[in-house]
Amino acid sequence: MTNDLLGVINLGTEEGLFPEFTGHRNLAAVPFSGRYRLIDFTLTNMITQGINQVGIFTLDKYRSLMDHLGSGKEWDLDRSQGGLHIFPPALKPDGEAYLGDLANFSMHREHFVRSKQPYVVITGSNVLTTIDFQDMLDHHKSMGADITLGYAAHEQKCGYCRPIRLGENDRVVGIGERGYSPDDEYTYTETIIMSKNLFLRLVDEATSKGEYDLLDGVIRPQLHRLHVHGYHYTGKMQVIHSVLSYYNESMRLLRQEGIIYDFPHIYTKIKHEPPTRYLKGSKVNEALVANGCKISGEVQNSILFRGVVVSEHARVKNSIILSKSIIEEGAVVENAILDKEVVVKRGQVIRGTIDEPIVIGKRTTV
Amino acid sequence: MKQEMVAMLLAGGEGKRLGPLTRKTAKPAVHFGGKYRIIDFPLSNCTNSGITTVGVLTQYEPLELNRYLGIGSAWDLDRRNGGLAILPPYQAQSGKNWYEGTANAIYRNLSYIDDYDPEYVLILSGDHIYKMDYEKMLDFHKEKQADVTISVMEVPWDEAPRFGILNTSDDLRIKEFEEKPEKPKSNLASMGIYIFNWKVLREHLIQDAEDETSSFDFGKNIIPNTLLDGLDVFAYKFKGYWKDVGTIQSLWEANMDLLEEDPPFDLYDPDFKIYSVNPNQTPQFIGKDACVEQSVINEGCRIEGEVQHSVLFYDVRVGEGSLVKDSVIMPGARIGKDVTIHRAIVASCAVIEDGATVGEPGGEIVVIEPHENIESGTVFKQRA
Repeated sequence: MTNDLLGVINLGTEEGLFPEFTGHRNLAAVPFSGRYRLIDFTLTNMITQGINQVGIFTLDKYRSLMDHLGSGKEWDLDRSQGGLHIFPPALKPDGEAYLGDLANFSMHREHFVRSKQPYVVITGSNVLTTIDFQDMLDHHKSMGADITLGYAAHEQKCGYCRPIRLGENDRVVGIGERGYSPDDEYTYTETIIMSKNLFLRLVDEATSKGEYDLLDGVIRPQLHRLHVHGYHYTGKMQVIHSVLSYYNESMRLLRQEGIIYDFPHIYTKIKHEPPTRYLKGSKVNEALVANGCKISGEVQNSILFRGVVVSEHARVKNSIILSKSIIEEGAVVENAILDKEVVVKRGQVIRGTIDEPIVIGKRTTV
Repeated sequence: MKQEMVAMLLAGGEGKRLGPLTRKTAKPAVHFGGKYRIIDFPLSNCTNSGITTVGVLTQYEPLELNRYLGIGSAWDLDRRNGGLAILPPYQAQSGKNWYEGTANAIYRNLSYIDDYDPEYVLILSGDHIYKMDYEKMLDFHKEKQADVTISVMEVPWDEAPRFGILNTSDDLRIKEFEEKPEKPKSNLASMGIYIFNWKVLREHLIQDAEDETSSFDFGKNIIPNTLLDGLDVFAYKFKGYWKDVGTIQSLWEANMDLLEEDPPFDLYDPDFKIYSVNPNQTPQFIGKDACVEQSVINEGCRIEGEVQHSVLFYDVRVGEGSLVKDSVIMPGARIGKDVTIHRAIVASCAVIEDGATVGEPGGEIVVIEPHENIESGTVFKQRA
């Protein structure tokens, strides 16, 4: 069965967020929930719904993302028909990067022209949903819309989200700036569906006028002219855009509120780690633990990524420990986020607060 | 395309002594170590030894095994040249027969091996848990200018009568092979791993096939014949962990070996990874009142009760108030609330309902069959 949707994951609008973690990686490549990277959720959602051609448009720092995605095999996207396409940022002849996502789409226009799918679905990587793209497309068609945008009820006070204002029959009449205001009822899920032809026309028009942002430069100014429709998403949503949101959304996973249990499987790069070993005297509670860890100490209300070592009498509490970090004997880590391969030496104490978790950079020894 | 060495992995064994665990699946597909199946070990050894052409000979209940192997991607054996090939018995002009023995299985696939025009053929089985660099064994084979090299282990003298024993001279040249000798002259046991010069093996397989009295078996026929013919047969001494997991007791013991403070078998060596097909499960979740000690636990598990000194495969649930001790719990098993399990192997997708008791401290190892349902409140200490 062929699928009418061409998947587009647009990382162009996510630059500059969460600098503590994205100094050396895309936001899309930020590790989340013990064994995944953020992009796994969008990719998984797309492929489990039968989308078999996905283009990922990057703007910067895409090494770790490319390493993660490889040929797309883990997502069943190493295909002769369709498959995974990764687009490095478009550069101007003078070597400078283009300003926004539109330039990137325009530069790689041929990808859209060649693909056979009549519709495009455009999403990002840092708003995690289980949105049903097929249902959204059906809705798009039955409403005769030009463009359909996903929206959800404002649950969390999300300072990153854009409010959406709806008129009659779920027609989108306004898209606000990023930020939270208690008056806003709905928030944009960063999901767009439109026909490929319209998409190409809009991209061409806008780039000729020097616009560089799809939502702000193209869709927002034309809300009165185009039929832009809203699609109500009622499932869970997790938005990651800052240290605090990363921390809080991770902690939600431990209260079983996260999105990870809403997918039958989540696909990611396989590392072939052995199972986790719990040694004598280990005390682990309310913890999400990936494979390859070795735990002799105490772990409470925390997330351990692959290959973490918690030594004897060490204590980890309310923390997120990324892959291959080592907590030595008697060390204490509380309310902290440790990036990959951090070593906390014997007896050291790292302590943040719930409202301001401390972040320790990659490969740091404390 | 030419390959220096082709591996042939005998994976058609029934594994009768594993009882319910092999009733519907071949022995090499039996689960081991929280994440693996037995066949992952020889296959990963091949990957780690740079062997990229592996023929897997299947016969008994192959469905689960075939599905698991796929095109060999998990072991990096999805190759343009060589790679993994599943070789079941097939119908030919000469007749339609099952594989009649280990040598017959290889004989029937001469053309598969010929296609790669190899210098050497490595014969493996899917019965053992061990890590071995076959390339080192090949180096030894070349150094000795051997026709045949047999991998051997020193076993305790009192256990030697259970093995195929090789009597060697000082330079490890094999003089005699004795199958399960009452009075062993040596304690070097054959591990069932052979490297042959392909020309030599090819000739002997053809001769053996014409011998109507033969059992078409490597241990019984091919190896003794190469010795009779005065070929250069050498023993390659392997040091390290090697365990036959052919019985319920030995399978359970080998799993328990992984739980020691310093396990005799190390699954955690990043330079010698054991590969397996990934079930794509979420990380394991250890609940608020859970207690986990001295255990090996895989992804997808959700533990609310107590787990002591046990091996849990992926996607296992242990409910509140339950105790799992000295046990092996295979993929997808569901253990309800207030269940007590001692010294058991709970096979995949079995369900132990609330309040049931399985096994007892110090008792025989109890096996709960795949998909078996132990009803609420039942006391199950031994299979009648």
